[in-house]
Amino acid sequence: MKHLLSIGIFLFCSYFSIAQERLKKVEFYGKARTNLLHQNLNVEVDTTNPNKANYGHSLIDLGILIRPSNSTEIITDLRIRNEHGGFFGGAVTFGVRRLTLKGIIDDKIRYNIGDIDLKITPYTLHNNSYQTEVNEATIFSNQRSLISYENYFKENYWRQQGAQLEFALVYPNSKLQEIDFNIFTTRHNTAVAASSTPERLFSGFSVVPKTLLGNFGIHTVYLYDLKNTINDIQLFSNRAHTLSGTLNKEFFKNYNFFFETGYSKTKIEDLISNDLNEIEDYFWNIGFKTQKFWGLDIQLNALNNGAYYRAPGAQNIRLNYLTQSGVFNLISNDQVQRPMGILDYLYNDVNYFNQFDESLDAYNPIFNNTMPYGQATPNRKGLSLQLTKKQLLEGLTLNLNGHMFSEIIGVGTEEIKTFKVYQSSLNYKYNRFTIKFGVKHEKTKRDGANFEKIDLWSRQIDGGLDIKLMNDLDFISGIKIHEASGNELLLDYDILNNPFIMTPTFYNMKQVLSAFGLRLSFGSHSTLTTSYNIYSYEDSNIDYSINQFQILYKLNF
Amino acid sequence: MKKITLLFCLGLIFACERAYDENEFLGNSLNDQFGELKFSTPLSGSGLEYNFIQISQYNFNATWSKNANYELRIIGENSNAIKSYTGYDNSLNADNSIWRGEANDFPSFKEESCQVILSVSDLDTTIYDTLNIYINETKPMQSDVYIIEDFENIDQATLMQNSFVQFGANMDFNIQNDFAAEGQNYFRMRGEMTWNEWFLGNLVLNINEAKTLPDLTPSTTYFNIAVVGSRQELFPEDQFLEIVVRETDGDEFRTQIRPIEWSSWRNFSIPYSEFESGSDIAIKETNKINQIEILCLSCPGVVGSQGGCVNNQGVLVTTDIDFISFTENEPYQP
Repeated sequence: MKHLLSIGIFLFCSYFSIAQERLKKVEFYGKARTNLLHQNLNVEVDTTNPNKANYGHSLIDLGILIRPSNSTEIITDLRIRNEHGGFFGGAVTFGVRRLTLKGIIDDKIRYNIGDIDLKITPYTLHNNSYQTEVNEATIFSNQRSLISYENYFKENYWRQQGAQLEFALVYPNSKLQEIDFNIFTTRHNTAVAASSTPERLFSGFSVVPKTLLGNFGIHTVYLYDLKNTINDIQLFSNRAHTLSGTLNKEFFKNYNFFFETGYSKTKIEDLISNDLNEIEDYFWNIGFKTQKFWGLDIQLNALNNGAYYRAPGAQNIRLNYLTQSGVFNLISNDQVQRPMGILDYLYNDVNYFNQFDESLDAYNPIFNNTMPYGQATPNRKGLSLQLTKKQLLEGLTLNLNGHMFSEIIGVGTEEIKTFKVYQSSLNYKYNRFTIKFGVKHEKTKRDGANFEKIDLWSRQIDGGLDIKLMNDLDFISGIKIHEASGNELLLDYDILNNPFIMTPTFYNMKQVLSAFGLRLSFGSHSTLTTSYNIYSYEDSNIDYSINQFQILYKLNF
Repeated sequence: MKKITLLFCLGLIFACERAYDENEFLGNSLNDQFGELKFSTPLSGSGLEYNFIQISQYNFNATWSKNANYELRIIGENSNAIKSYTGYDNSLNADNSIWRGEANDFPSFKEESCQVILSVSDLDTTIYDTLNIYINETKPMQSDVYIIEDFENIDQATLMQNSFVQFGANMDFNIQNDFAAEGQNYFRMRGEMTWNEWFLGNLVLNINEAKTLPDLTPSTTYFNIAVVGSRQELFPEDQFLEIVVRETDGDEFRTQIRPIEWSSWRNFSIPYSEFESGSDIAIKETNKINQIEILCLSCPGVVGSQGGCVNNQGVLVTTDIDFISFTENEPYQP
């Protein structure tokens, strides 16, 4: 510690130290939006259900930033939302989207209280990205940004409510340059006596020494029930501890090595029967990046995620695949529940998880069967290779990915599944034209007896073309194609995430969503987009199509 | 050197071996849910001839392709005695099919041919396998059985000297020898009350000195009795037996077998500790048991001050009994 020369503040300190005199006591900012949708359903032989839907809303999120002192900020986002068609304010709702108190103690320790965004590593706390896009066209990514905004999906952060401390120890002129600390506790869910759900907290810390050789980190997350917040029947807890590191090029010439390894333990304590169920397992993930060959960015990594490794904050899916939109819920004269598809996932009222829980949620194998719960998906081992070439031509970036994984132990059988994923994306900008393309092909296979055999393939294609017609006017268009064929077993998990119900499911489906429209920009803060979508869905049970017209106005201020 | 040390440390971490069991998999077995059900090895026994004097226990063997519900039934061809085993497994073996010659209930096996039938079922299929065996020697009587009355070596008059039969229609409280639970004879308690009375009659068995029990622990001492209702399955509403055990110090303890609605012999083994007393200070002492009274009762067909069951009019009450005994440590095994 004799080399400790100073204690530095972390990341945002400069924000407070620069020109404090000029900062206002109160600032306002916000977003406003109007979204109008008209949808028209086409399905054979349906004389009983409505085939048109017209709905929309306007909202304003007013952000207020209050600085009671030079080292303290209070941030709140207030929302007023009006569903179109509400009678004299009858459909108006008011809410608070965010309330955060943040500041710095003694110019050394940064704290956040209230709504905070947290992320650590892909094996501890990580909000995994969407599974229904590869390299989406602008016309769709505009819409997806609304979903992210509404559900607090900011990069891979989870919105939590609690308290966080961040600080750093700085060692100038030393091989050990600094050590960053991040400590937090959040309230994960409240106690509900009726459902025998105890109060649950989520705590963690991360210590990251940064050295001349690279960065290393020790990370711990802990999701646990608090005793005696109700008449306890069962108590859950999960701990995950990981060690991560990145070694820079000075250590291995021309190669950046990275790794993460760790261990988890999950406990369910049944206080009625006095039973204690425990599972524990470990993982490792190691790889390197290099630019040594042909000017390519090459990344190769291998991973081995134990079958019982559990980290709920990192093993999650954003989209609730079991959700059902209220728009055209039943179709055809047989009153069939309309299968959900990529149009619903982008535009309609389906549910996205904005909080993780202790269980592995239902996933949809035709969107992602290989790593449905992100990089920390349990029971996987294999290799990934990623090649990226920037400026292949002027303005052209090409990315190729290949993943070969398998289960470590079988599910319901000793036979194991193998997974292959090939993915490529391309971005090309030429004069007034911007082209985006992405394709992902995934194949799952398992041998064995007839009831064990699995053979499933799925393909997602994204394409987009934007043309700048005038300075403030763009033609935007895109297409999404999703196909799948084969069979899989859909799993329902018990409380220890053991798949106890397996439902054989057969797929033979294709869905296509195409869209085109005009986007008018009013300065850099607001846009008006009008678009027309044509969507078709077909599987072995039902075919339908939906045409959609959208007007979307967005304003940031 | 640093690189080697680091690589060695990482290698150590990544080389860790998991402790998965051999053949371990996650979740329920797909084979159990969706696999074809068939026998892998056919049903076999420890032999074809069974001598329970020489060898006290035998077992059966078979394996099938998946965990499934199974039932193994051994049926005596002459006695119609049945011994059955049920469970959820993928094999029959020494752990789940040990047979010591006993039957599920009365009647007991005799020296006879038996058919062994194994049935295994999943949701949509049932498969069978059969085996024929022969019992050379039936099982010996289990140890620590104290027979109170088996109705084999007693005459009617002696048996009824302390008993009582009400006035009623078709009253039949006699030793019979048609379908006994054990041996040749059993005691019939049959009749119909033609007036508003629950009590049809009783059988009072005095326990003489020769039959006096030793001092046993009440919780591990079982009172055993074979009981059957009408063979024609015509059961009056609420017919039952009340059993009263009296001790020399005046304490008495009661239990009931109620209602009696079955048409083949059943053995009841009731721990003596479960007999109830009207007195809080009465203590069960098996060596003081000197009398057992078995009362035949039923809801009367004639409605009156004691209530009644109109539907019981013209229906004979039948509560036949056989093989009354005490056993120590375990129930009587027919």
